[in-house]
Amino acid sequence: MRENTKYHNYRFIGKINVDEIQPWFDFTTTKPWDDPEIPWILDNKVRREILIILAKGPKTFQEIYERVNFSPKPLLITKEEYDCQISYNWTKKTVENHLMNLEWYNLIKLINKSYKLTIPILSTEETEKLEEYIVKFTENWITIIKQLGDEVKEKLGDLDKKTPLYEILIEKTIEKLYRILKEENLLPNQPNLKALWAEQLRKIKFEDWVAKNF
Amino acid sequence: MSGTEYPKEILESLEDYNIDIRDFMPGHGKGAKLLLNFNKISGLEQVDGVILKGREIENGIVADIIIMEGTKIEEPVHLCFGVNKETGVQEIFPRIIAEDNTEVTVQAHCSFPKANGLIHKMFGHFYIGKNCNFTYSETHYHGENSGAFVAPVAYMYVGENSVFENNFNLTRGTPGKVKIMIDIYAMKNSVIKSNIRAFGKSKKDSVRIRDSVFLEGENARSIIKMKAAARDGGEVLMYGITEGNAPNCNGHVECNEIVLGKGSICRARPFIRAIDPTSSVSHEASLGRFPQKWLDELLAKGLTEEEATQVLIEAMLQEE
Repeated sequence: MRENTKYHNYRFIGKINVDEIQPWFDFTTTKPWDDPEIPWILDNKVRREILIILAKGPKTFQEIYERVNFSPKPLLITKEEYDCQISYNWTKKTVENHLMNLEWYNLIKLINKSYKLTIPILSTEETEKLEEYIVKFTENWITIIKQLGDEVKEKLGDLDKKTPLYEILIEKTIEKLYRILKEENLLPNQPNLKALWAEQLRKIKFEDWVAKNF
Repeated sequence: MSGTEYPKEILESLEDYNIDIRDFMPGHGKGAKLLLNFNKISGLEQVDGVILKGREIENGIVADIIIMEGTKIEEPVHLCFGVNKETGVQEIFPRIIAEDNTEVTVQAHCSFPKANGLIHKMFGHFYIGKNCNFTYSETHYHGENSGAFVAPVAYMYVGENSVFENNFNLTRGTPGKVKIMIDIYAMKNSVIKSNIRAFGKSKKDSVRIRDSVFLEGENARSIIKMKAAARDGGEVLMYGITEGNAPNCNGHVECNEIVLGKGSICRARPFIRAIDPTSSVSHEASLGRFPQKWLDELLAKGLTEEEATQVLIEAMLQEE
């Protein structure tokens, strides 16, 4: 399916650089969706759903097709009060088109009749497992930042007045950290290695919240 | 419930649109109604074929609105989400399900007449079944202080052979900071019409609307019409997306924006994608000033340039 055109060079080959759960809109940060880094390929919910399905392991076309279709549920009304009869069924042709798109953009690949992700997608549970170490890393960083606070103020005080100094320092430190980790083979030497998040995770959180509160 | 229990400022706030919210209040007309005053349900009226259920939360409401199979109602289902305070955060989570073979109009009014640092957020889902005729109209008023931050997100699914019309109107008062995202998924043979109208009036106003139609079913058709104006430093971005993912689908994005006064900015970002080889999608956009000929014709009738411009903006924002 891969044609050899001049556009081949522009094909996405790195890792997607998306670091928000719902990058085009987040309730807490209200981070805008109109930032240019959002890849259009992820605009469509069906394609996001396919990526979520594949996050659980490689799947054949038929397995993906069977999982894409859905039936909505009300938020508050129970099944005893009302049983929704609506369902949304995508055709094989449309699912095929979405898969071709994802494959063209190198987000998935077809191996032995099974589609497989080329990028890491974490589930809510996997994300929660990371939390402990995120807290540990952050606490250590805070300790260092506090320890060096006076020294930074003394030596970079002038700069602090005209720039968001700590933002720059942290960003530059992360860049350096990445470089050194790659040099020491603790990170694979690939650009923009970040986990891809998907809006469905947000949806699951929202539905969890509804389930817990109502 | 009588109209007097709902804040007068909200009830009268849509007069500039020639809308009197009292006409939609419980006790008026036969439509189902759900009224929210910040985080309190002030009115709820059900009719045959419509189930309404709302639950108050700290900052707003979670609500289910179900239109039962085969229900055809002439009077609109009325939703009113008002806040009569200067500041605060209102969050609403509506879920609308219209079963197969239904015909209904949902009229939503969102009014924040005193907004001055007020935040309104929505996370809504609309599920329209097969063979439906569904119209959703949302009219907003954000006061005169450019003090609202409004950020609704809506996901809409339109079933086979259904006609769905979406209307959003924010042309009176001052918008403040507005970021809207609408995603519409169109199934086989469905028809989508989405009309967006917005007007930014000062440098404190920024309106960014992303309206997407994903043509997911064979022969699905859509048209997005975005009309906007920005004056006196206002900013408007209209981002219309149409994606043809299914055989023989057809979509169009149209965007007209008028920019007036120094420092104002209008942007259009039509983004169309044809993914199925038999799909067809197109766009057209025009941004900038009105043609001089139109202004000259009105000036010849004795209007000042400002009046003539106002007449043209009104006409553009009201036309179908």
